[in-house]
Amino acid sequence: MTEAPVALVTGASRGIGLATARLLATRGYHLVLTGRTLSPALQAACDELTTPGLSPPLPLAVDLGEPSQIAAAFRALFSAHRRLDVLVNNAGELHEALIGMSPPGTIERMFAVNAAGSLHMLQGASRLMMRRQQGSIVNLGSVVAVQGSSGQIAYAASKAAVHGMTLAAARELGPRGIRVNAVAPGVVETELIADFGPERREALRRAASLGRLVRAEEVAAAIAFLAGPESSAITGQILGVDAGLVIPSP
Amino acid sequence: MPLSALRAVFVEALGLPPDTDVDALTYRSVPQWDSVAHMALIARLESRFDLMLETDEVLDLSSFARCREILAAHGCRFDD
Ligand SMILES: NC(=O)c1ccc[n+]([C@@H]2O[C@H](COP(=O)([O-])OP(=O)(O)OC[C@H]3O[C@@H](n4cnc5c(N)ncnc54)[C@H](OP(=O)(O)O)[C@@H]3O)[C@@H](O)[C@H]2O)c1
Repeated sequence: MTEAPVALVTGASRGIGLATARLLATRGYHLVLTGRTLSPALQAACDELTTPGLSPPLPLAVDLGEPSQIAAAFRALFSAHRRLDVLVNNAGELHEALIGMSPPGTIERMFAVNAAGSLHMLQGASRLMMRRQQGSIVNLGSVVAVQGSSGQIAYAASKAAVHGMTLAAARELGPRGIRVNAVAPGVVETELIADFGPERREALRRAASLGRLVRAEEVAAAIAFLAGPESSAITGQILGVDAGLVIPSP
Repeated sequence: MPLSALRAVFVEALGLPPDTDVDALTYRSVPQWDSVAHMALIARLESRFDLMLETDEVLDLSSFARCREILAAHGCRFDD
């Protein structure tokens, strides 16, 4: 069995996933990094994050919309490391459409990837973590799960599913020593929001109490905190990382 | 591997008295083998025999006898 802790980060080819992988690499984790395909970006991430003394990151192609690929990824992870300490359940897709113009395929895809895909990942990870009665799972929710967003009905609903599964899993897996939390990012400057024009970005900046958008590294810092031992008494929490876009009332 | 090794995993994981007739056990046939204990049993089997079961197999593992067959499919054979 691998000696150092093992962290699996989905969607690590860019954006929040890559920023998280970079941070976890500095904290001594063996990394397993996934993307939809074994893209040059994913390979570059593995090359960049090869650390002396640790095995190089293991790249895996996993489309979260394909449960058989998820099962195969856990088999590959098991044969490489035989343990899992952290899952960063990060990969996700956003396809925007107004309610009346949301094609069935898009609605199904959002749920298949963001909701069911995340749930299958959580299922596989918790099975491996149960062997050692320890582990930490960090899911990627979203502010839109709690406050909605016009043009994002399927995405918002799929992220609300992520919030729900975080709470249910925290209750069920706590007695097994496994913590489950989520971060709910606001608007993060990644390719996911590449289609947002300047006016929309400006409006989103103004809506945030801090008057700005969020950087991927800032979300990664919150994820790494929830993944690691500093948050050992924290489970079932959904931590906003949104520059004050949502300030909950007491 | 001796069958007693598999019996021992059931006794430990389910917290059964040592004189339990393990070979006759089926899921929920004793109060100790409930759904929560089932997942603990799976985790114990996987660590002890260093294998990874598929979700279908987890659901299908409904008796000691069936467990023996499923583990055999993973290359773990037990002698009586
Ligand atoms: N950016 C935001 O404003 C924001 C806000 C709230 C929540 N989030 C959430 O944060 C997470 C990361 O977002 P991001 O902004 O970093 O996005 P991003 O820059 O678009 O990166 C998405 C990552 O997920 C992977 N991915 C996408 N679809 C996938 C699929 N079907 N199967 C497997 N992997 C897939 C991509 O892999 P490939 O390179 O192989 O395509 C990529 O590595 C997502 O869950 C997102 O919903 C983002």
